[in-house]
Amino acid sequence: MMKRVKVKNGNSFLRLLSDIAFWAVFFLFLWLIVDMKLIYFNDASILNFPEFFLTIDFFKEFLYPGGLIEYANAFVSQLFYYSICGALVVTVVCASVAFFADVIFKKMNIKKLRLARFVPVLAIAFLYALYTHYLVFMLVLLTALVAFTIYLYAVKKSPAADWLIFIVLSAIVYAAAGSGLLVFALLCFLYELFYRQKYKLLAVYVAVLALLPYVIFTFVYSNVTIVDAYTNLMPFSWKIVQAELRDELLILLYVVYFAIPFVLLLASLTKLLTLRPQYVPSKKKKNQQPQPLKWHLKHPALSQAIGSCILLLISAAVVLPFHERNIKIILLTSYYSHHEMWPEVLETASKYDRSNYFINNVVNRALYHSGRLGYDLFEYIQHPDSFLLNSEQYKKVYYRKVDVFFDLGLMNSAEHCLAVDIDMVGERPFMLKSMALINIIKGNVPAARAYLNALSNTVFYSDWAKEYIDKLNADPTFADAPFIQQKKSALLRKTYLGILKDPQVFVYLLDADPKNKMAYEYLMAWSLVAKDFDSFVGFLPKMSNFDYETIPPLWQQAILASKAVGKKINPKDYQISQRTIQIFSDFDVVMKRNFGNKQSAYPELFKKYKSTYFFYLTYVQ
Amino acid sequence: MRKKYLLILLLLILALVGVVALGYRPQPTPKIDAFDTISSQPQISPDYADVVFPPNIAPANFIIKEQADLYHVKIFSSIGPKIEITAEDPAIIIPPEKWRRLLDENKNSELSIDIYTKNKDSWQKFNTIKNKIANDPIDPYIVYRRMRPTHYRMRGKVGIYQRDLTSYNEVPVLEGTNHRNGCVNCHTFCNNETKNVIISYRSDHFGNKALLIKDGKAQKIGTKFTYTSWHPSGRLLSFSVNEVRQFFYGTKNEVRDAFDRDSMLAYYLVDKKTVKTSPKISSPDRQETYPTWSPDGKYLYFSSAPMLWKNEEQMVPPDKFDELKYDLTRISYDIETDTWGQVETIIKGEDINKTVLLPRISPDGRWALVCMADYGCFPAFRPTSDLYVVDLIPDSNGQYKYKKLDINSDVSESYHSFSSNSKWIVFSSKRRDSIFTRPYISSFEPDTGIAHKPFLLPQKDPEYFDRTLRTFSLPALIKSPIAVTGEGLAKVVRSSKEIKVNMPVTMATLGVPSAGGAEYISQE
Repeated sequence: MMKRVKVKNGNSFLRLLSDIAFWAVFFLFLWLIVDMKLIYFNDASILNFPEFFLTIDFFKEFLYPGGLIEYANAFVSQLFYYSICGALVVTVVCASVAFFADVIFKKMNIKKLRLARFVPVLAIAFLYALYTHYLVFMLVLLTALVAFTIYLYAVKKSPAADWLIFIVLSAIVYAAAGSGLLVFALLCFLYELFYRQKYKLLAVYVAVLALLPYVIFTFVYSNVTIVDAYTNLMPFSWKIVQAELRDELLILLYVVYFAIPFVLLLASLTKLLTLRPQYVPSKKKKNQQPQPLKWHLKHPALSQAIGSCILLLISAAVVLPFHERNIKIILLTSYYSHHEMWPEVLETASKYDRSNYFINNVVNRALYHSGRLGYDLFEYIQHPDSFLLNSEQYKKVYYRKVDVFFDLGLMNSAEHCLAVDIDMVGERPFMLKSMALINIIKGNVPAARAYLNALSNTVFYSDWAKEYIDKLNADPTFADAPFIQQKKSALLRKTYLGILKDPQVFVYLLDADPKNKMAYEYLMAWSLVAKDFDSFVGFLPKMSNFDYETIPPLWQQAILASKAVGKKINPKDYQISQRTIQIFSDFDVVMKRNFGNKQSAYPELFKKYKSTYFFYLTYVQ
Repeated sequence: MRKKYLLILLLLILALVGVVALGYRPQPTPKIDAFDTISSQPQISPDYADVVFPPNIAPANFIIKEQADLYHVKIFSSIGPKIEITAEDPAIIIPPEKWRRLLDENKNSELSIDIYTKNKDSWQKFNTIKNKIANDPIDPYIVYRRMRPTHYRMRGKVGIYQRDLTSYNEVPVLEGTNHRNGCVNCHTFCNNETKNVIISYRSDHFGNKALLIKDGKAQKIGTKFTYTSWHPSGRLLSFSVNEVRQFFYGTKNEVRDAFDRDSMLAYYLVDKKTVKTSPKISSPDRQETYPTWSPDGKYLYFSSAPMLWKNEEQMVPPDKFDELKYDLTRISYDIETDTWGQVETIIKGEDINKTVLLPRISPDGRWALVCMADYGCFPAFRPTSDLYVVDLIPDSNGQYKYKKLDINSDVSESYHSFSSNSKWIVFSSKRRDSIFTRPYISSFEPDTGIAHKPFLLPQKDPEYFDRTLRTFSLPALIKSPIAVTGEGLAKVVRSSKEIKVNMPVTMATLGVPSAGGAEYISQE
């Protein structure tokens, strides 16, 4: 007897250790591989990431079935601002789900399928690996499991008491978690059907499931439709379907909800089929010889370790291959760009080996701010449409354009893009911050104040907002803020209609402020990438408006190239470095050596000059 | 043992209640024997100074924008006890019952507000804020649309809400979420009553249609209307068909603007379930929009402008968009014979170098309240849009006099409407921040056409409008609540049953291509 107890204790300890190992890896995966801050700072690509304000008005918007859990989800989602907090939140919620599932399995004696407690967790990990945000489903599931655990421990022999417990718990689950009622009721139903065989209760439970939403809808939450009263937070709810662009992912939400009830059903059916009702503790016969211990009981530590390894390997095998690395790079470059972390933008972008205009867009922004646009432009894949993302293909892309518009001084274009995406994805704090700044720069102080007031009720931007409210109160013109003044001076003054497009917009900007260096460099870079020599040659003399000590090498190359294609430019008027002349000559020599055959010259030129303008002109269509 | 724990729990609860009660105990009314006088009015927000309140309005709570350790406010009139509020918080929340009684007992009298502030140990008193309590009540309900200040409406929250003006109670009439994030737009009432109501909605899933609420029963009409107006008989609904296009400014403070590529008027005969039009209100040479009926039902007033571009032109905006000036016109109509008279021009936009939009006729028939702006047809996007009244009794020369009301700001005023007694107007204004439209109420003198300083719709939380990022548009005053709301309307939207309309009027009538596309233009 003593020996068996020891084994049990050893098992518990090892199980705890293996669980800790699993959750540690799970947490690290979310923190470091998924990088949860990218979910928070998603560039309006995750439509259902919730907004959150610390106001009563905002809370009142959640007074509907499932609203409390959605409110809780909105709050904890703000913690994704820090990757580590986001990972911790999801880990804690998932671990809680697994814990309660384990409690339920133990209570119902389904020990062989205990690993199934990780199925919803893996489904949610899978969804995060694909850069979606469905924590709310785990919160709903958790609510249902907690309620079911209470039910398991609370139900006694009196049917009246059991009904009452069920109805009270159902009402709480429904009010808090909406469709969590279905999961809870399903678990109760299976339990009563297979484990307690209280068939009379079943009809009552079905009736409660069918009628409770209607009753609560009629008497409590009349501000929702009857459709929403029954379907809110279900995977097939229109709100969920409408916000998910990848329909196929919705199937995982069914896994989240129904994996645990399915395990119960499976276990019950297995027991029925084997006709061994194991949930009834069998009475030991006297003088019965103890069965020899099985291998895994003899070596619990080893078996637990192996179990943990298998679980981790399965988890990794299921989730890791589906991690959307490319989406991560796009989101990460966007994040770094928004936070003006230029070296990180460039380093991350270099990991993306295909052409992507969003990445081009942030790379060019980073190159400009690093002073490298005239140097390293062709280190990266380029396209003229990537500067402002103004082509027809990106007509309906909004937020991703905001930072470049803002930098250039195109405040109305930035404001328009923000307004469209705020309507699309909600009032995300970093968007409101941009709105506030735009209105400060435009001199629209009351509007700026409105955005700052709203922002002061958010979790992580409150201090910034209050600081700016104080600054506004002290001096609405921000006369002592060089950053604001520089942006003010860049504002367009003439009336222009529509969303302004490149390259004309750079010219307008230079008309408004000849010292707008970003507009100038973007115009020159655009001219190079678009191979528009007339534009390049025409605007080159305006270089004197700026503080260039030397002509950037790519421009030097463009001067020689312009001359070569017959444009009216005299390279002698400009300081062309010996290095540039040497590259030009050598490039020509290699081409001649290959009898002008671009294909045969390619390997050598690629090796030596792939980042030069000559190479771009020769090989990039 | 269990009793012991129960006792401890009880004590803990009592302690908690005690702490909460102590924390929230009301400030005792201070005895202010001496104070320094500050010879200026205190800054309060919203600005409830020199305004005329309806006697049935909810308490006008406000924030005192003066620094102090303690605030003491006295609200009083000639009859009845003063309302006295003392608070450390500058937000002054007026007890509703006391406010109601004060206003009720002092109709047509002054309403004064004395504000005392205490800094360190001394009290200061500002100049008394003087307001007036009107004799005539305002219609007790206001209906408005609340939404984000969208550029294209995508999937943001939008809804039509009904607010009880005598309290702060608000109920959703129809929200976008009721029909899968659709849009809800114009809502029109007949004679400020809710016997005949039209609400339009747009939905990817359920189509673009209108809801007719007639005698407490909601039905769906299988067509869409843009701007609508009920004939006072309730037998006919005139509406405009507009081909709206939106565009954006790269530079101006207001980013958005819109124009109608073309528009025309038509009307829906409720009993016959038929849509008709007349060449007189759908001329191919003109753009007709914003219909509104005179209270006697004999005239349809509308805005009308010459076509300055050809329908084939696809440029957005067209070349002369900023030269387009609408006239205020009207046409007589006989509902018994369904015959139209001749179009008369009341005010020619070109003559006054303004565009005249959105006529609304006072229920006494005397005044037309209109928006006038520099050009175009969309006053909510024109910062120059101001409210004017036109006297519909012509002078001896047969000319109609008009005047700018003293209630305008330097940004857009629009979407105004009258109360049923012609004594109050409500309108949307962007005066607080030039982005978010807010509902303002103004007392109106039907005898003189004078409107008094408007006040912002009172809210329970006086900081509400400082914080919310929603616009409130199309405010309309009604005498009783709408009978069918929420799910009652939503199930009609979802239903496949609808009134089939004999519809000879289509966008093809206008000769322009249909709008198409998934992006909706916001109509604030």
